[in-house]
Amino acid sequence: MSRTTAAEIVFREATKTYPGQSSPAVDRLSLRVAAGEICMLVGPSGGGKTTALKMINRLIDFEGGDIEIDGRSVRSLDVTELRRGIGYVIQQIGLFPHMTVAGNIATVPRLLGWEKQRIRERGRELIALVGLDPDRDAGRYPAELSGGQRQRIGLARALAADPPLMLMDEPFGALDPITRDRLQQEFLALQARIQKTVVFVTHDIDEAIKMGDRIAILRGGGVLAQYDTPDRILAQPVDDFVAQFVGADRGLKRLALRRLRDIRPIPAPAARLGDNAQAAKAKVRRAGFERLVLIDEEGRPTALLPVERLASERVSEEGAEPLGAVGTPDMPLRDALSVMLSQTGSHLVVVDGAGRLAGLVSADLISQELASEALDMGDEPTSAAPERVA
Amino acid sequence: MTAALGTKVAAAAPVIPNFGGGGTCVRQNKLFCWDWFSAHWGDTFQPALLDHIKLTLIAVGIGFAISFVAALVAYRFARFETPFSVFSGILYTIPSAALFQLLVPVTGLTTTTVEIALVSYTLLILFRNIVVGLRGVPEDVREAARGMGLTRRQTLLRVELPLAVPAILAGVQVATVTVISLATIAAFIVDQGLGSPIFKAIPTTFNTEFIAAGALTTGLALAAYLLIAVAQRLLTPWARRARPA
Repeated sequence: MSRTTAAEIVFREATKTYPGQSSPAVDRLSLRVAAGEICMLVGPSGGGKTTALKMINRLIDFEGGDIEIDGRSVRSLDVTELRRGIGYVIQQIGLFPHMTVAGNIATVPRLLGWEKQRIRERGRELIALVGLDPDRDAGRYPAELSGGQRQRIGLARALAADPPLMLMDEPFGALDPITRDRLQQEFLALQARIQKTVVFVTHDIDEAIKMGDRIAILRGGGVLAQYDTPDRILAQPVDDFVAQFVGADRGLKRLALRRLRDIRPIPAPAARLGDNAQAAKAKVRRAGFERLVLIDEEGRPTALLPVERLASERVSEEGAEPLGAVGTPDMPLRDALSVMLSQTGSHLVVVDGAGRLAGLVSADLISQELASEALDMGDEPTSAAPERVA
Repeated sequence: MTAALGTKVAAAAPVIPNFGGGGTCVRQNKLFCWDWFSAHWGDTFQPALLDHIKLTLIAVGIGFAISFVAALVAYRFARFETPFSVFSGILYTIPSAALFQLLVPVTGLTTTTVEIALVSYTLLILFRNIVVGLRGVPEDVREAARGMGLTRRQTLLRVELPLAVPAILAGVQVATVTVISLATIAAFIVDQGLGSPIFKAIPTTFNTEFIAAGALTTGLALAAYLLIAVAQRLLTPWARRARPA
């Protein structure tokens, strides 16, 4: 797909007060979204997150402060040109009912005067990109699609002219949990390829943690409470409001963010069939693990052998137990803990990407990892407006 | 004109009238005489039918143009909606015969008088339906259009008007049928349209002319209704496709 560099967005004390209101809806908001990052705007209803989003493409005009895209004030740009250069996705999707899928996707390219052939090809490319079938779906009308398919096309339409910036206002909010989860995953996979700058509004802290490179938490009245990575927001909420907003289970939420690859496993006592039994016993004692991991010729774990059943001279399969579930590098720590809890024993056998034995991970190791991370961050800025611009 | 008809009827009263030939059917004044009808198709009914279509097209065309502009203004500036609604509503309630009486001193016994009256009856229906159609465009669709950088004009032409087509055509359908039916009384003023043979036949006892003109009017209205329904289906393929359950 064609390449556009992503845009950097900077809010500088941006302020919006609606007519007739005494207090602002967005109050001196300052933050910077780096090119290619997903910034989640999250907060309670009335927190001003949608207002802040719509100030970027000037669906809402504002008087105080400024917002810059790649160093240019949104106010200095022609409003229709500004909007044509920004992908916009909303919860209600807003597909044009009288246009086919291909026609909907063609909207902005047509405004930009692309040639017919290019528009057609781009449409087919995008329909495939969002997981639909160009041959089957290009000529369909929105009424013929399911909710999930409609939002995919909404996304495809927003991506049509390859904008460097995407604004997404609770795009998955109206979908059922299963479809929402799938679309979130797919969007992350897509984003890994297309690397847009994304500003994404949600009221769901779990979605924010899952999707965001950074999260901006707005409290009532459009005041920025904290702007940080998901992990830091969970580990070190700046105040009670943020702590309460992210939830009492923030420790568990952090576990969902990390994966086994983030942890260095301890070496596992391993042996192949026919290895010396005494040497194997010694390994098990050193590791503090009561089982020997049997591995095959390629080093893949095959079974567990309790050390007391290691009777003969040579290691054999006699008395071995099934291996059970193993941890893979991309397994979230939360799932790893869950597996440990459901299996006897406090350790999880971890393999590498090729399925070879990588080592063992214990519950202690996981909690140490989280604790040391939090400690490391002690001196880093986590206050409300670290990016405040003079 | 009515005076002329009156004398004709008076003179013909004692004997079975002879309306330009015809066989026993006419002499016995049966319900409908095909012979007579086909004999007079060329000199009476076809010109009357064509006139009637012309009267209708002009009235609906002008009425649509006025209503369309008024509806766009009312859609853009809501404060204009009520005044135009009231104005077209009042016109709609004036009895057609009274409206002719009012207009004849100004515009005389002309087609203009007839068209002014007919147009005035289309305004309320067309105006309301166009406004309702435009207002019926879902808010999320409008916001998406704005967010993608369509100008107001582009939004109107590419999104709002196409989506209003079903409501607009429904209005055109009702207005057209109404005008076809109303246009028969144009014969009060000018010797045009299918009202003319009807008026000529009313004072007589001769059935065929009366029935033929009435049936043609009804048929024309029905044909127009169906034609517009077909046009609507062709213009809005999106409206009847739904997701297979």
